Amino acid sequence: MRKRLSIIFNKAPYGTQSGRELLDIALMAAAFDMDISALFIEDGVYQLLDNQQPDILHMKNHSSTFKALELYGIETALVSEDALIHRRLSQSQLLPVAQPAKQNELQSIIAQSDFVFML
Amino acid sequence: MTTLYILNNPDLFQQCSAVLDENDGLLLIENAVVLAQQLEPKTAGFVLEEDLVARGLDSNGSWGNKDYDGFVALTLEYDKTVSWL
Repeated sequence: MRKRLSIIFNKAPYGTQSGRELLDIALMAAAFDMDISALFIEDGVYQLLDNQQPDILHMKNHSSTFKALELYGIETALVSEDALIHRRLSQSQLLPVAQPAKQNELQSIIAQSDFVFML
Repeated sequence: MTTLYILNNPDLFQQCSAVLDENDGLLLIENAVVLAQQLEPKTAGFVLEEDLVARGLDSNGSWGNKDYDGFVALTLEYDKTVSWL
């Protein structure tokens, strides 16, 4: 039975490296044939904003890697609807890689996961 | 599956509480132990004794005091442990 891993993004990008590092973990875990979910909650929803241009900070744009999530077998990517509403963001402003999800849906995925990673 | 959440950052208490299931537990450690005086746990709540004593604090009584050994034993009572960062 495949183990289930959840990666939780709860921080905005570029201020910390946690977004990029969590992505690295997700991409590596995909090689171990795990059932991986990427959950974007709280300020983590900013990771998915479409018009990121970090080159102005001489930083790599890791948001393009999000488009590769399915490529690496990360079937489930959910973004918290409440977090979007709270931050006056709409789904259309985001990279089209995550499905909007309610709090209880996010909660049940976390509960059912064998491992949960945050950074 | 039951989860023991470990919180060391008091600013993330709301965020962490939002995902707690009724049979999950929350253990406050390091700076988050300051919350053990002010707040009530939503589900089973614990606080690390050594971090309280180090800070000259005590719990408001609704958080179970655990020392380091108790902390280790606590992790065995849950299916998994998540450090909320």
